[in-house]
Amino acid sequence: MRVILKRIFNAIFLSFGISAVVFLLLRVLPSVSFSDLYLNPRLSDEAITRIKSSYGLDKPVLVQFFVWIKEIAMGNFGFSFIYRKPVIDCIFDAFLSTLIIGLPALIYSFGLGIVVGVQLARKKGKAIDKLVSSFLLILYSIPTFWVGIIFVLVFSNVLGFFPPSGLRSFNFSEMSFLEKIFDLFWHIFLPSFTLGIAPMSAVARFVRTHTLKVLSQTYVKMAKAKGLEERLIFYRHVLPNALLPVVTLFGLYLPVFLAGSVVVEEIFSIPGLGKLAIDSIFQRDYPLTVGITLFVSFIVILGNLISDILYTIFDPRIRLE
Amino acid sequence: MMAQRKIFLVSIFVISYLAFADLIAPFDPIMSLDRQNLSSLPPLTRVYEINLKDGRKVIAFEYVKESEFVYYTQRFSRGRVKLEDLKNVRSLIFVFGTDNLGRDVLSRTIYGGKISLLIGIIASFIALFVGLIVGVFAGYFGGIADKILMRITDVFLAFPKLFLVLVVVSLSQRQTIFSLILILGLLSWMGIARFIRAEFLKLKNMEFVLALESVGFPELRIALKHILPNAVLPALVNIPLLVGDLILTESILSFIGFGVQPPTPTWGNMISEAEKSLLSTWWLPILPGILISATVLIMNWASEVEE
Repeated sequence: MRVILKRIFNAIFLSFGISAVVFLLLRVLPSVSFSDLYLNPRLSDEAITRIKSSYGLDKPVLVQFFVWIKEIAMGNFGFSFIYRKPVIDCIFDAFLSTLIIGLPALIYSFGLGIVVGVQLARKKGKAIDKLVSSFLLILYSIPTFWVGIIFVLVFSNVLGFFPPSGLRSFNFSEMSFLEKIFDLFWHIFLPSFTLGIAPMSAVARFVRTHTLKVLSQTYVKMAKAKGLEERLIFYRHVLPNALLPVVTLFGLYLPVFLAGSVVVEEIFSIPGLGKLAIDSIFQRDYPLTVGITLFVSFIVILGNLISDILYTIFDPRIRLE
Repeated sequence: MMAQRKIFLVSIFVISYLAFADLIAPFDPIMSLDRQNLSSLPPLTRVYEINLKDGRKVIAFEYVKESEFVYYTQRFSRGRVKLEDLKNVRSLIFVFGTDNLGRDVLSRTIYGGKISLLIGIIASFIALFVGLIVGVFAGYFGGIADKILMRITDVFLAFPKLFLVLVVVSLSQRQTIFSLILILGLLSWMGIARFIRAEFLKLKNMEFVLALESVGFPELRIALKHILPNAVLPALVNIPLLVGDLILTESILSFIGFGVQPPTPTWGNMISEAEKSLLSTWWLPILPGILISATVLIMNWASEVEE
């Protein structure tokens, strides 16, 4: 329990720290300050003061900082210049699209990664292990955006199997319920597959190494010496221990998924968080850019916290530390 | 193979590439010979450069030499020149085709690779430098300095890196290659700082440090002259991994449009330009993509710890 409390406290500290860093960035980097207001000859000094005070900029920096922290803690990330609605609303709309392609990618990359990794560990040293392991390293090194472009080129443009962009067909509203579901799956297949490739190979490589590590421990030797069946040792005694740390991978690879979703959404024109972030930067919509960064950071911290807590629950050894 | 030997091999390869990239590139990577006639040529296209005595050049797809004239065919026109004006005819081949501005893809990829590699390498050395300072401070002083520095490191590690880089890039007004390198370097030091600190804590309790202390060496000298070299060497193994990671980050940034701006090519912005006309010029993204993957693969391979 104490470990979990410590983790929660740590997560809160990290969120606080991240907000502080973003606040500092906004202060230090000149483009967001209102200094260019002074260049406008038609604005009187009083008008500028009024504008500044309406944004709370006339107060001391420290007060501004605590106001900023308070608003963020209450879920107020500011107001988007372009969309004319609260940043948090824009983020939630987009986050749904990101989840639609992110969740399938998450599930298949961890599922397939674990299966492949375990099988490779069982066949250690054989030709197939070497072949697949090198292939996984190659998959891990290929940039996601390039894979996405090649997939669009081959599967959408040349072969025509999948739609090149968007989340739904133009006649989506006329479809029956089943057709709608099929249409959605048809649209998310390529982006999800693209998004999951790099994490899949990373998970597989991790699981392989870790399973081998567990296999070399003395209790496995002991079980063998006792004459237990090889399969039984592997699936009953080795596997649970080997797969435990995969829980921590979830928190570790969340940033990879989020970074991947930026480029995947850009390539497949999916109105998700990544695309929103890019658009907001191009449109100089600072509140939105900053809001998305904070939101994404909090998600990553939350993901890490959850995987840490799960790990503490599953692995009693951690609790003793 | 040992990691150090792998890194040695990779560095020799990289340095020779950086040194000879300009020499290998067959064409100018930024200016086209003839923008109109050479645009969007598929791979393995052969063209002829007809050089005239007055210094002019004409690009032709075919030409016929007859008794008095040379007849040539360009993309949008035909023409002829008198034989006595002709200096020579050079045959050119675009192995990987040309882009829509008529520039050779191969030359751009070779040159762009130089930029991408340089960004990755310089930025990781900045990261190494900052990480070294933070790690040494935290490991050497310990106590409250260590706590504060490690907390700061944790905060920077908690950011999803791409988003942090995006925010800083978008908030900084002018964008140059130099500022990009600086931003990438200053946002990637955390792993190295942690590594150096851990090594420091480990080495601080070893016998040779105790021996030096008992002889009466000043502490700072022990830290910088005896512990630091032992801590840096294992940290160097992480450098190729960082270089690979930064090359990927740079290519993602350039792909989205916030990295190196055209006409200077990098692998990332070449793929980004290729995406705009994917259907008509499918050959543009192939080579840069293969080279990014290969480079990152080599870097990952160099850092891979033997089991």
